Amino acid sequence: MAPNLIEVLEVHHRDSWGWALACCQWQQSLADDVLQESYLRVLDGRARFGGKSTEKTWFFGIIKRVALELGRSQARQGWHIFTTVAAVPEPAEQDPGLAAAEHDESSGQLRSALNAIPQRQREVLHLVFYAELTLEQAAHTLGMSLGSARTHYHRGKSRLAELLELSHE
Amino acid sequence: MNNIDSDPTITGTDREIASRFARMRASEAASAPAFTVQTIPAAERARADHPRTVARIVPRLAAAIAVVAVAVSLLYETPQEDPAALYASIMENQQVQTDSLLIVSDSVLPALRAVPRLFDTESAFAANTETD
Repeated sequence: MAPNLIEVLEVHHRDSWGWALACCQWQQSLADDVLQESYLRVLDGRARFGGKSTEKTWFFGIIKRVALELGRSQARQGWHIFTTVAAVPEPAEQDPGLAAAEHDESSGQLRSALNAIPQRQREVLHLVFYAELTLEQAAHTLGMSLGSARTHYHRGKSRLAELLELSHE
Repeated sequence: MNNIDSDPTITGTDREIASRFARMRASEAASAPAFTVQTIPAAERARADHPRTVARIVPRLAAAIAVVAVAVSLLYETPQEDPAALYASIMENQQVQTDSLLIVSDSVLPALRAVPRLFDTESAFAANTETD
């Protein structure tokens, strides 16, 4: 792996962590596995940057894929990691950092609201608002058309505003 | 700088959502694991990947065995008979059968004796040719 790619990954490490958490519905241990596996794939050459997008978009795509694969394999084992309940699942083990984050009422509300909207909408909103990607980059990361991403973005935003009881303007 | 900050069509709701995401981002950043990318010795990685490697190899191995089995069965499949040869052999067999059916002995079909002209025709024809 090129040294500058490592530097780029390091720059985006926190956003990658946030994206891994979102892909795993904020289950920290699973997100940790997903992020490590994603880095490992880049390190051992299983995932190669082709230059078709930005490094960040490319790596976010890897995280998404790894999360899907790990989620499927764990579901096959009967763990049923990805549930569709609106409530945020309680992590089995928490580190002090995330525990502190849990206390942040605003973040907790946002997570609950995000879990209550469809997955695609949640992902697009997360990529745009959290990871600060453009809609085009978000569409590329999620493997959908720009039109679909725009639709998910607008629907998700208005649904989220309803759930958070924000006033529409 | 968020992308939405540069969007002139942005509403107050968008800004509120963005600020909530920013707060969540800040709180989650605190729980992020350390970024430790280092070269993992190949043997160690192989050992760590062993169960996954096995799980990946087994279906591939099964698929490869199936492909080889199909290839072998195709190689050793009985070649199709040439249609012309098949037709000829059937016709020859039929001919033999037909000829054997035509051979009728007196003992099998005694009533044939009652039709003398049938037999006489040939002998009469032979007699005529000899005479000519």
